[in-house]
Amino acid sequence: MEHRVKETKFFNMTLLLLAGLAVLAALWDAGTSQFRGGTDDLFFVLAALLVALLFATPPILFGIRSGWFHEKFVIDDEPASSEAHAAAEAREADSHGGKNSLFIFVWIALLALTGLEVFLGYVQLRKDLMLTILMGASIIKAALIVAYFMHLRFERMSLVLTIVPATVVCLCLMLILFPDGFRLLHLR
Amino acid sequence: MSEAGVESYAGASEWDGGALPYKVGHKKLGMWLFIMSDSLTFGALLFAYSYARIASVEWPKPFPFFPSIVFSSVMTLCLLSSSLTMVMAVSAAKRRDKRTARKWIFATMFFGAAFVVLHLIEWGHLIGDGLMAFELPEEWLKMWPGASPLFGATFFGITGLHMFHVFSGLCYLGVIALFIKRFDEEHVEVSGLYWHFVDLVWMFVFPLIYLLSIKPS
Repeated sequence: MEHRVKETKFFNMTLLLLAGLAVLAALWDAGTSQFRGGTDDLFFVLAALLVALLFATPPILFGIRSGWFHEKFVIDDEPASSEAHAAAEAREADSHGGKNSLFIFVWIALLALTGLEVFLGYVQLRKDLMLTILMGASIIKAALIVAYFMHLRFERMSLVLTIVPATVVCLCLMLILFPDGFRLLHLR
Repeated sequence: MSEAGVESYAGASEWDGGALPYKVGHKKLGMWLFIMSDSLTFGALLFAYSYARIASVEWPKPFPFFPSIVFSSVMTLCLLSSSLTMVMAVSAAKRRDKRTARKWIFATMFFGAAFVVLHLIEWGHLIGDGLMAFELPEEWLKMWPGASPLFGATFFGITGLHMFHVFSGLCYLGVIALFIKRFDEEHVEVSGLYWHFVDLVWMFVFPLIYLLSIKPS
């Protein structure tokens, strides 16, 4: 039995590694060509990300089935035993209030990230590097705000899955305008 | 998850709306849907700004580190702190402590108003320099020859719409705080969602508009 657990773990780790490699390939292509190749590059990046999703799906499904996500997202509202019910109630009460230290910690993290961004502006980093780091930090900040300040981390998984992927995909679709922006610059 | 929103459906059959697939009240779900659409509005504006900037040969970088960037960093600090006080207001409202919630909401409004005032002062400086929506000041054109005149349009458009959101958020919070006896904790939480969203948008506007346009020293 233990042998099988080990095997499953190894299998999942390999798949996650492959998914990571696919993401890296997408990042590498985006970094080196900077979408100068137009739609071809965009297509390659999207295909690589889809492959990464494909690789990552079995580990994620395994994680859901083995209950790994239950602690991360509050998903079931009817625990089986009364003991678990009490625990869930305590957790709910916890998420409703009395967590002010957590929020102050998140606030400090947001301030630290903002300070880092301003510092990068002060030392005047290279433009492309600066843009990448700024957008990365901003996305982390946005995720912190949405997850903790806007309470999405304590909501049901169904609400998270309804709101977040749709918005992110719609925003990412607008990326398709950038190859045209570069083309316009070269036409001048 | 507010009890008030959830309890009003208790007892109804699933076909009468008794099922709550998201386990949130309808006000909160509505606010989330509004936030989704509004984030697409701001996303489109920021993408349009990036597009204009990519497609231009030269783009003005008019913000010196001191005072402009320090000034806008203080504005960011105001907005982040207002988010924290709003969180405190929501958690006080969840404890049914309306008096404390009102105090925290007033603190939030104070920081938000400080943000708007500081921002208007900065607008005043830029307009005083001669920046118009589709026209750059003479000195800027000497400093960055061939710079795109769209700078003013993108700057005033994006920060203006954001400031309008902050202003309407102030009105919203003011109504909630003044008549807090009539509202339950879900109302406070939903107004908090809106306020955090305004903060979230600034987290993208600040780096893209300000930090990428620092004047080289």
